[in-house]
Amino acid sequence: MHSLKPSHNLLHSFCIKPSYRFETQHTNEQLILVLRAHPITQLPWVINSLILIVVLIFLNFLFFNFLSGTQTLFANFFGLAIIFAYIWFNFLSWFFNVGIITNERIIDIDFHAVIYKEVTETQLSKVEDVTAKSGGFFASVFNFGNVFVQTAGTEVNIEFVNIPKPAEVTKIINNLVP
Amino acid sequence: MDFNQFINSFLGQNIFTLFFKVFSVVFSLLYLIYALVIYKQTQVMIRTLESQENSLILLISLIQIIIGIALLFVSLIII
Repeated sequence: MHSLKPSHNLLHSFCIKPSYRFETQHTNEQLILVLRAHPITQLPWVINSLILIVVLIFLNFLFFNFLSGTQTLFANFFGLAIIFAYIWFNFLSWFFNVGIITNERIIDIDFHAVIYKEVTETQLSKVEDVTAKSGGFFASVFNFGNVFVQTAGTEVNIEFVNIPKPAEVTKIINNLVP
Repeated sequence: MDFNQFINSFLGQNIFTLFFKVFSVVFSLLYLIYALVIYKQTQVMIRTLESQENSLILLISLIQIIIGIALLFVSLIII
């Protein structure tokens, strides 16, 4: 693992040895990988935001004669605030839904709809099987997919969804497993 | 005197303006509550994963609260 050089690839969705820290990190625990969903999988909400801006501009023409000056100003301000909230909500969902691989554990941090927090972790020694799945046109072109980590006994299984370079992640986990 | 005229004489303003004001105040308040929840949750998130960008992320969530306050102010005072 010493051959891995610190880097942040694909808009911080594939970070090797980043200078992050997480809540339950042990004193001598080192981060090897921090994974987020591939940026291309975030395209739907980016496109939606652009469509909403176009709709807002279109509504201005539609209701121009219907509303007074201050009402038009407020409606635009409110519309932009809603679009900003939508963008920010989706960005936070993307940025903080991470998969972490350390020299001791594999951790999956999920914030469902931002307000529900779920942290799943397993020791590397408990890892039985690591599977990388990648299917579909976009997944093949942009090289992203799911990595499924199966653990021994009653330990929970971990799944990283839509992460970049799933084959490389599998290789790194397999090299770390004792 | 129809309902519209009654409202106009009673409140001294057009029924649509009144409706717009009520709508603005209610939705601005909801936006502000939403922004506060997101700010609180952002604090939880940055505690969970600490990175160099955390202060910027917290600042943007704070800006959202300021936008919410501004919306409420505009809806209450200006409209």
